[in-house]
Order: sequence, then structure tokens, then C-alpha cells
Amino acid sequence: MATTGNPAGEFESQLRWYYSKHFPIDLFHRWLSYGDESYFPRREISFTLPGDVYLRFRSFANADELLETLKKQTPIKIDIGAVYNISPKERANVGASLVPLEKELVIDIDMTDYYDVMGDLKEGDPVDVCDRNWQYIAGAVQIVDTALREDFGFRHLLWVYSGRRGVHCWVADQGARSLSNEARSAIVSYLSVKMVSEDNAGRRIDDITNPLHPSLSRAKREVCEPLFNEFVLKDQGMMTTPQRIKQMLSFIPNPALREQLLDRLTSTSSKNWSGTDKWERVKHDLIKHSETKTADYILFHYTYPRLDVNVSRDLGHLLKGPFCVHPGTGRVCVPFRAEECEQFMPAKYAPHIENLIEDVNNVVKGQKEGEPSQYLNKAIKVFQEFVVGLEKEKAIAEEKKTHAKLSDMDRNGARDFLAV
Amino acid sequence: MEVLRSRNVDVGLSSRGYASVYRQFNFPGVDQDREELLTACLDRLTALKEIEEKLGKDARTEEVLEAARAAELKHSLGVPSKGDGRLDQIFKDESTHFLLRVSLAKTNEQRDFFLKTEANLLASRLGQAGSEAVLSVLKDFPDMSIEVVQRSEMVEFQVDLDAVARGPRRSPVSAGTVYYKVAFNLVPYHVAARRVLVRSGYAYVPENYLIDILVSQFRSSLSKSLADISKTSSFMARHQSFGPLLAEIQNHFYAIASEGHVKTSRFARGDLKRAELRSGDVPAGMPLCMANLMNKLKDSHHLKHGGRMQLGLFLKSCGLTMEESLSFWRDEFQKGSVASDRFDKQYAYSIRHTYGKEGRRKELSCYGCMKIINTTPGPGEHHGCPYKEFSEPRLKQSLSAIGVPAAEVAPIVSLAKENHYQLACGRTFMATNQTDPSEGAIVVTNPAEYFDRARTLRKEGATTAMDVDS
Repeated sequence: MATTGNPAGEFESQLRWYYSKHFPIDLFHRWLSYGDESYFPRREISFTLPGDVYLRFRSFANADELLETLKKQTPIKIDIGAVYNISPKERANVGASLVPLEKELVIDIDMTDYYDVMGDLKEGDPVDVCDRNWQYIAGAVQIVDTALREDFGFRHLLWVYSGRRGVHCWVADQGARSLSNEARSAIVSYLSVKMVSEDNAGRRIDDITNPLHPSLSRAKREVCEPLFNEFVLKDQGMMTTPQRIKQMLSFIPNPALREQLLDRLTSTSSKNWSGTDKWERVKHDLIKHSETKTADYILFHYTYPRLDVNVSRDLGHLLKGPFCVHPGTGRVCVPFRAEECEQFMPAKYAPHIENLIEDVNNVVKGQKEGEPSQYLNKAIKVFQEFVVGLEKEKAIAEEKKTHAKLSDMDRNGARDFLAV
Repeated sequence: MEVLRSRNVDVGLSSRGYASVYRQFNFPGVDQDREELLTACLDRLTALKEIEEKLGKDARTEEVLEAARAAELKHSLGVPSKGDGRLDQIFKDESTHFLLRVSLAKTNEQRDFFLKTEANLLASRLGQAGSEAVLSVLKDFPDMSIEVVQRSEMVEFQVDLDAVARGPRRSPVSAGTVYYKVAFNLVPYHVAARRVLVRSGYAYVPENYLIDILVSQFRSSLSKSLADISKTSSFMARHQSFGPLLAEIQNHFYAIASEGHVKTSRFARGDLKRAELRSGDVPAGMPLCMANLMNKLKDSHHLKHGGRMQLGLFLKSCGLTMEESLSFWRDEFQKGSVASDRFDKQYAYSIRHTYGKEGRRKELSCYGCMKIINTTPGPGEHHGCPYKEFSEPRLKQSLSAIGVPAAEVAPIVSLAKENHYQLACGRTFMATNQTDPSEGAIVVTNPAEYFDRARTLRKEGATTAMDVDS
């Protein structure tokens, strides 16, 4: 894998510096312990070492052991897997087979899945393309975050920039960690809308109903419509060229209506119409022909989250952890708040490892801390909030348990008393 | 004799006796007549096979349930709602379910089969019992929170509930239907398809979906139980006398092919049966390339990929069903160092794949001679065409071993030497089967055809011989 234009050895020494200086090992360990000492050592943590050597089924007794190994082996990627019945690294000694017991519910959204809905902002280096098209990711994050909280009742969500062109979400509630594979599949299917693509061309997609399912109508109202009007039609210009108009109209099943609209929108008389004008016309005609579902489908096709569902479905599936440094971009995989996702600009908020080094050197020279360090600290703060939130809930639950026990004892005491 | 623990649960489904199935994981009794028990088990197995057949055809849910009902009736598995025979029938129902469960827990294929067919049988039964009965059973479950949605909440969510109820492929919800609030993971399939309203971790399900909760609970507890059984042998340790009965169920699992099961595939033309391969002998009439692979498999209990493909597809074309193929390969590999679970992980996939059950779901048929001749086996591999690959002494020896008369060996070897492999093979065919010499030379193009013709000739020969005898 290409490193950031450095000789391979240099990236390794940068990583060593980063792991010892910046990697939030304590929070990382506190998070994955969930207030239970026996939890962290049973967690699979896999490394990709420089030279793309992939090591699975590692595990670590505690934070120190992990940190020392990070410094020594400088993995270019740290993957987090499931919590097993035994420590994965001891699987050979124990003689029992590894059984995955728990893992956070994870969601993976990648910009790669959005290429067909890019217009004016499509060209250029893949990383730049992602940065410029971030609005799609921001919309997806908002929709998924809301659904996970309101519909499924989850409360402890960590959103992390994946370092290149996507985001991950870790749902860490106890209820989420103990979900069966079946339930995980159910959640990601619930969150997905089947999209028309080359693979299924011509087949009727009946995910979109009229009226819409409440979770879809909420997404439409809160995110899809504004995103479509502001970003898809204006910034992307998805109604500007005949080819793009044709693409958008291709989802209309009625060929006569499709041709008629195509003629209308590509003729000279509509030359001065804005993208919004053109869309209003499409919507109007679709609704007139009882094709409300098609209008909704088009809206969703351009704006609704596209999840990489296979990452979520399996308890044992690994996912890159937060605060890795992406070896291709040099960016730190920073957590961010879902509500701030729209303002999150990867190039700025995810500091580059070289800029971090430069920044620290400047501080050593007596200058004030610069932006890269500030943004990293901000991300660590987001992470901290998440970890503390989990610990608080755990403490409350423990307290409740104790109370329940006490009142049980009271009751028994009373019974004994009455019996006497 | 262990106590029949189901009685108190049975109260829930007062009109039927199936509730016990969910919790009854101990064998209710050991004093039954074995013959009777075996017959009952095989009846149930046959019924399940019939359900499976319907499932394999991508039938709609209602059709599958209808088939389950029909199968249950046909093999008299049902429990009457009253009458003298009721207890006996409940007993039989539980015993057969349990014994099949223990017997069919060993491999993935069998577990899948049992899981999906039993779940559909149950769904069909519950459909007849009605939602009230279902609800009373559900309430009896520990850790199962099922609440009636309160009027105030119904008002709050009225619009949303209506929106959900009106989508496609929904069962119609009549006005005034009672809704229940259940943990969303109790109805995973409805959540996945957005067929229910989901709020704060609860799914709001109309009354007529309650059956699905029970069925999906049943599925997951059965799945867990099957996994547990597959890992332990405690039942067998306690009830050793059941060994023969369970083995008999195993035999029948592959033997009972529901109608049309074997012959529907255009790729299976032969009538080879798993049983003919059981002793490890090479069935008479196999072409040399396949006989060679069979012998190598018998010796080393393993074949490399090329060999597995060449022999596996051949056996498939000769008539082995997928289940028979899996059982054949598993047994052979197990004699070597490949344990059953490793087999399931590493090899079963590619066998299912050849039957079009995995990957791009395209059935494969037997390799033709050209393909076999054109492959070059590496060291330790035994596929390819023996007439091309074998050294002269080895070819001579192999030919004698499969019964080529001494006088015929030399001409066959010389044909092979001149690169006329298919003619050489044809000459072998003529020398080992009593063919009509006036037919002239035979060019073999496909090993499965070779075998099919050889078997036909042998059968005809056998019939003729019998005719003469009588």
C-alpha cells in the first residue's frame, strides 16, 4: 500500500511517534472494557503491518500491552473484531474453539457507492472527490443516526471518519453489542433502500411505498428533500446536461411519460430553467400520472444512504478502529459528532500525520498549538464524551441492580418479620 | 424414564399440543416400541422432505404452509384436539421431533433442512390454532415482553401505523385490529422489510403477525439446540440403545427422495445410488479415468481439487443427488484426516456449488473427454486422462485390473501411444462390456455416457440371463 509519498521506513517512524504521543490508548481501553476487566482481553484486535502483513486474532491483556505492541510493530491499520469466549491469542493453548459472543453494531458508508450520482463534483483525485461530495455522507450520517436513535432506541453511537472516503459508526449500547446476526441484518435492511443499478435493471423496486414507511418519510422530510434541492440540483447540476437529465428520467417506468419529459426538458424552450424548475416539472407530471412512488424513488436514489451492509451483518466481521492513521492519505481516522457532520471537512478536521509532527515541532520551538493538534484534541473530546456516556450508564445500571437487591432484601426482611 | 415436562405448557395451546416443542429439549420417554418409533420418525422425515421440496421451488409462503398442512395430514402427524388417542399422538409428535433433531444435527445440510422444514410445519400448525392461542403461549415465555399498545399510543401513531399497513405484500389489517409492542429483534424479517413501525427499539405488530414471533423464537432456539447437540454426545452416552435407530434415520435421510427430487435435473441422467458407493468399491462399468480416481480416493481418503471436480461432477451426472454427494465425500474424507466440521467448512461449499446451490447458482455437468484430456495433472494429482498420463506398464496393469482380457491390452496401449486416447478408451469399453462387435469402433466423448451405457448393457445382460434361468 502506498504511504504518503514517504519512504516506507519514514511512515513507520511517524506512526511510532503518533502511537506513543497521540493515540488515546486509555480512552481506547476504557471504551473496549465497558467497565468489565475480562472484556478487553477477549476482544479480537487485528493488525495490518507495514508491507501489508495481515495478522488476525491478536488480543491484549491490558492497555499497556497494546500500546507497547503498537509502538513496536507500528501497524498501519488496527481492526477491531468481536469479543470471544476466550482470549483469541490463547486459542491454541486453551483447546476450545473460538466463539464470537458480542460486538458493537457497525455501519459502513463509503463514497465509492455514490459515483453514479455525482455530476459537476465528480472529477479529480478520489480523496478530493470525497471531500467535495461530503454532503452525501453528511446526509447519510444524519438519516442513519436519527433512525438508530429514534427507531431502535440506541444511545451510544460513535461516528468515525474512515481516513479516506467514508465513515463508520459504532453502536455500543449493551443491547446493540449482544444482537444476533439476524437482528443485525434486519437493522441494516431496515436502513437500506434497494437501488436500481445495472445488476437489477428493469426489475421493479418496491421498497418505496405510498404512503412511505415512517422512517423513510422522516428521512425525506428532514434530509433528502433539502439535500436534493440544494446539493444534487444546484451544486452537482444533475439536471444540466441532456445525459444527466436522461439518467434521472431513466427511473420512470412509463416510457411515453419518460420520452415526453425528456423532450420537454432538453428542448430550447426550457433552456433557461433552473435545475429546481426542471425537477418541479418532473415531480408535477409524475404525480399527475399517479407516479408519486417514482418521484420519491428518484429523490432517494440521489440522496438516501448507501450502506455497505455486509460489514454490519456478521458478528465476527472486523472494522478499522478509530484513531488509526490511514496509510494512503496520512489522515487520522477521527471521531465526530453526527450533528456536526455537515460542517466536517475531512481535509481539515482529520489532521495529517505530517502536519501533526510539524505542529508539535513548532510548539517545541515556543509557538502556540496549531490547527492540526486542535482538531485532533477536538476529536479526542468527542471520543471521551462517548466513553464517559457509556461508563455513566453502566454505573446507573449497577446502582439499580444494587437497589433492586436491597429492596428484595427489605421485602424478605418484612416477610420474615410478619411471619414471626 | 424422564418426566414428560410438557404438560403445564400444553395448557397454553389448549386445542393443540405443540407448545411443548419450544421448550421440550429432553427426550420424553425411552420405553417406546422401537419399531413403532422408527416408523413414526420416518413418517415425519418424509413429511419434512415434502415440505422441503416445496421450499426448493421458491413457492409463496402460503403455498409452503399449505404443503406442510397436506404433508402433516398425509402422514398423520397431527394431534387431535380431543379423544383417547390425543396423549399418544402428542407423545409421538414430541418423540419424533426430538429423535430427528438428535439424528440430524451433525452436518450443516441436515441442520438447515431440519430447521427450515420444522419451522414451516410449526407455522402451519399455529396458523390453524389461531392467534389467541399463540398469544397465550407467548405470554408464558420468560423474558418476552409483549404488551398491548395502549389507546393513547394508538392515537399518537395512527398515521404511521396506517402508512405501514398499506404497503405492498402486507397482510391486510382490519379496522380495530389490536397491536402489540414487542422488542424489534423478535420480528427481524418484518423489521428488515419495513413491514412494521419501529420506535425506541419496539416493533408495533398487528395481531396476525404474532405467529411469526413464535416461529422465529422456535427457529432460534432450535438452531441453538442443534448446534449444541452437534458438539456434544451426551444424549448418545445416556441412551446408547438408540444408536441403531438414529443410524437408520440417517440412512433414510438420503434414501427418501421426495417425488421428482432426483430426476428433475437435466444434469442427472444416471441412476447411480449412494448405496452402491458405500463399500468403497468401484461400481462396475466406470471408465478408467474415474475408476482410477475412486481407487486413489479409497487409498488416501483425499483428492486434490482437480480430482474432486472431475470425479464429483461425474458422480453427479451419474445420478447422485447433492445430499448423496455430500455424504459420499464426507464419509470418504472422514476416513482420512478431515473431520466432519472441517469438511463442512472447506469442501461442502464447492460441492453445493456444482449443484447450483451457491455462488452464481449454475449447475455444472460432467467434464467431457476433451476437457479431461487437455488438463495436465501436477504431482500428487490423479485427474486427467489415464490413456494420456499413464506410463505404459502402469496402463497395462490398470487395464488388467479393470478386467480387460490379456489379448486386448496390447492393442489398447498402442492406440494410447498413438495419442488416440478416446479410441483407446472405446476399445476398453468394448473389451469390458459385451458389445456387439459389428458396431465398429467406439469413440468415447464423455465419461458419464460411458458409464451409463455400460450399466445399461449390464442390466440387459442380467435380465437376459435371468430369463434363461427361469
